[in-house]
Amino acid sequence: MSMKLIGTVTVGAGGAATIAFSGIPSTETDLVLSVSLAPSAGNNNVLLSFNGSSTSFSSQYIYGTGSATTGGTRSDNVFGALAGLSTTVFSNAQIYIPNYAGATNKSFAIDTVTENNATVSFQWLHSGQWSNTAAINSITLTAADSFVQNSVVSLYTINKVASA
Amino acid sequence: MPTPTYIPIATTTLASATYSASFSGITQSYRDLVLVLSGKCDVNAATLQMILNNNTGYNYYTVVFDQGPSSYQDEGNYMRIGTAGWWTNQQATMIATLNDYSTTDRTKQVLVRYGSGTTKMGFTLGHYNQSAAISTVTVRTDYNGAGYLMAAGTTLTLYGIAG
Repeated sequence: MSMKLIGTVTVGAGGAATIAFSGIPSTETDLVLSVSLAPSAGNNNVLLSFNGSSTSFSSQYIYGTGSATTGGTRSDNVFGALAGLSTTVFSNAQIYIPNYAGATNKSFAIDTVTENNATVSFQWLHSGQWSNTAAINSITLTAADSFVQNSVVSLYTINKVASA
Repeated sequence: MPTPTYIPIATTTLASATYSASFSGITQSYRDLVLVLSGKCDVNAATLQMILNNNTGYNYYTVVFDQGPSSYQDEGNYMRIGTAGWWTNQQATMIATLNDYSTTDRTKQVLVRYGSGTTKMGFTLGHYNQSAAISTVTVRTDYNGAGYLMAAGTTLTLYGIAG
């Protein structure tokens, strides 16, 4: 099995401003984060950082609300709807980062849904780039407000080489 | 929902700019396949195409939803992957899931996420109207000429997902 769980962070009572993974080994091929977050207030943006850097990010996105679609670009590390929809509606998201330890700029994909059994909800697709050639050894998700209790993020690695 | 085991089947890193890359003799032991591409087009506004089982007949139908936002349909002798120029000289990610690839009682569906940070991104749903099990997957650019190739260093990896 090439997909391995590196760690899980579950937010405790009182919430948390950030969720972080550090010491990520550079021996694997891809990273996958499984994300379930909810915001403490109305802002569902998440600020993503790699290796402590919040700069050199760019992205494009599409989102649908159930009645409209919008697309656009950003030149920062802000990713919409990744923190869910409300204090009780958690996001269901995946962040896929291929070749995270390679010597190229890092490209990644984020898929998010926040279905809440109502007429307004969100589906976001992001395509991002971190213009830095360093291997990613830490990842931090920072809430625009804060993450509520029981928000949870798991980090997995995937290796393209079959194990013996 | 299949268990996401991501068992590596094969991988290739392109040593030089290349028009086409294939995985053949694919084992039939999994439920789904996931193809992950990390790389870029070498110079110009090429896009990517997928060919299954070396079949270049008129058997492919694709719906694209991109960052416009816009949606359009394509059909022909290949499965379209992406908006024109989506990975032009930009490190990019493409993740394709081939559902139920080893079945012989249904036609095949392929979900593709593609994008880069500063050019274009989107999502495609591809349909291959043949029911044979998939044993060969080919990814190629839409033009076989200098400047329109997959750049050296581009990596393609095929994973099996247990059912």
